Amino acid sequence: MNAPDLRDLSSFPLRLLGRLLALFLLFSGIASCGGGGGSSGPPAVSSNQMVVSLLSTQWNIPTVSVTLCIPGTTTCQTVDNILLDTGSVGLRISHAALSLGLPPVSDGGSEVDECYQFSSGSVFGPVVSADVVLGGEPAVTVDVQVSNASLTPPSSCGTASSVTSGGVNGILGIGYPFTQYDGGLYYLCSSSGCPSQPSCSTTQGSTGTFPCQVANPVFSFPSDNNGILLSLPSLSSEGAPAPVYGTLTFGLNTQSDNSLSGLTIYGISASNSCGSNDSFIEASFTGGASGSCGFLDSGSNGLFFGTGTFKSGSETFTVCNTYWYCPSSSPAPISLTLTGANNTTGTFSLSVIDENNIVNSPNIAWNDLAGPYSASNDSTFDAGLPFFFGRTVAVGYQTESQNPFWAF
Amino acid sequence: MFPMLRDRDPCASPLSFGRLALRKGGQSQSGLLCTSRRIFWGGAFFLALFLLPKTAGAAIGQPFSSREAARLGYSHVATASLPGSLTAYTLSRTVTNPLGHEVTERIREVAGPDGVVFALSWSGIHPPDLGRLLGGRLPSPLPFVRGPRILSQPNLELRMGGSVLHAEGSAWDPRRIPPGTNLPAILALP
Repeated sequence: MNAPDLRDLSSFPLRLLGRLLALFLLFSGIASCGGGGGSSGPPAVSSNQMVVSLLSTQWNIPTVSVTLCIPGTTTCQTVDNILLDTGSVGLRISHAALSLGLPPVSDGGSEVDECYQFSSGSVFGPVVSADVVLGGEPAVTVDVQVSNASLTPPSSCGTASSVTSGGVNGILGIGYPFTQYDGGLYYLCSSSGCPSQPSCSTTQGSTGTFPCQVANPVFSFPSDNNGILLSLPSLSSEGAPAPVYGTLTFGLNTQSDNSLSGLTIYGISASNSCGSNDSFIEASFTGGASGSCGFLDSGSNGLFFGTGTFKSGSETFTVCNTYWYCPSSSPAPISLTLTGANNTTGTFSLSVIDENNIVNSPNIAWNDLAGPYSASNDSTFDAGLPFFFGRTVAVGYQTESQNPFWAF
Repeated sequence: MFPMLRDRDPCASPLSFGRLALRKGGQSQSGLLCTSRRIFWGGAFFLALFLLPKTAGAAIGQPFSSREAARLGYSHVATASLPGSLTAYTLSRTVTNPLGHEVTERIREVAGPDGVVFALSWSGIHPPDLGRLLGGRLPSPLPFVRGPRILSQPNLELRMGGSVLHAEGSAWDPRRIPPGTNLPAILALP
């Protein structure tokens, strides 16, 4: 029961073990310096961090593992392969991936269901309450959507699909549009339909507390709650095979590992032309129209800009294999200049690879995958995951004491 | 030049003129047949099957209908003539997005010389009710896509994209496009 006993225990064999451990850490550290891919293990993370792992079966899908518990209990389930999304707000889990009986959120005795509309389709399902554990942060009780494509949504929701797709079991929205609550469409549903909206979640505006709206769990942390940092490794233009790891860090300037120093802040402002409707920032890019806007989105697996066919100098961009650009010489350089509402500007040299050249590659992480943004809009740049490689990107939340921003 | 894109979504299901048109038709025709309950239901059923999908309005493959536009939540419609005897109907409304900002949502529908809508585009907080606008052409279930969606099937070309709170897209029936039509030009929204 005293110090000498402990010292005895830590004699030679344990010291040797410690040295071996140090040697191992040294070597694994060296191995992880080699770039994105390879056989190095996941990075060591501290209590306000999580390991981000790219899905091994698809291109550019960053995922995390999230633990959900029945509120106030230790009855929990960890769900892997949750898409880490800086382009949405709120946690959505596939009905098929969830075995835990989480309590439904109700209002006046009826179940609350949500339709959350992504730009390419909507997700529909009941709202449940869960204690959510992200990394070593304390569990927080938040509303979560359970996506269930077998339910028939109200017609105002459009055609809904499940978030389950190609091995993804859910979406963790921790970013744009920088708010705590997701502002989705909420309904009171019973077996006969969804006739009305629940008063507990009907909202306009981004402030206030909404007892039955799906929310970004990070806002509920006791500290480390004002934003996130996402760091992904540098890649060559040839991509990298699985596993590819990155780090998600909670909080901005709250701990030694989440400092914003060295990053440039790109502010969002409603008085700015790009910020007024969309919370975008100004963007100027190869092939784009003047007065364009842009946003960062880890849930987009490519850079999306242009309408499908354009020329840039001697370079001709066209689409092949349905979805991706195939520039005439590959990789083709493109330029992206972003300007925040606070007048900070950065110009970024990116490149676009010919998708024909990589379609049979075993690699899963690409910093040069790009496709058209839409059929008729050449004035928006979706800086998807390729933009994030080799950078640390911060999302600054809209709080009472902070205006929203990107930083990188 | 418009990109010719092939099928990405694996479930390119054929026509499914479905529940929506049938249900809506049954309602709008219910007053016509009332001699007896049995005749009413039988008549409504057959009318719905054979007649009503053509008269639903404001969807691809149907004549434009301002009444159907109002049903979609758009009461303001601007009509413009385009080259090639085409007509563009631009539906617009102002809504408040969850950030508290006012946003103008628009749907543009383009009809050919025969008055039938063959292409449309949209821009707004959320995608519009594509179940109505695409006249039952949308496959169900729709595979989940987080980035832009590109869908090609014989009776529908669909492009959806944008971001949360800023949805935009376009759709057209490739079989109905008049020769020489510049699709990006006629679908461009302000």
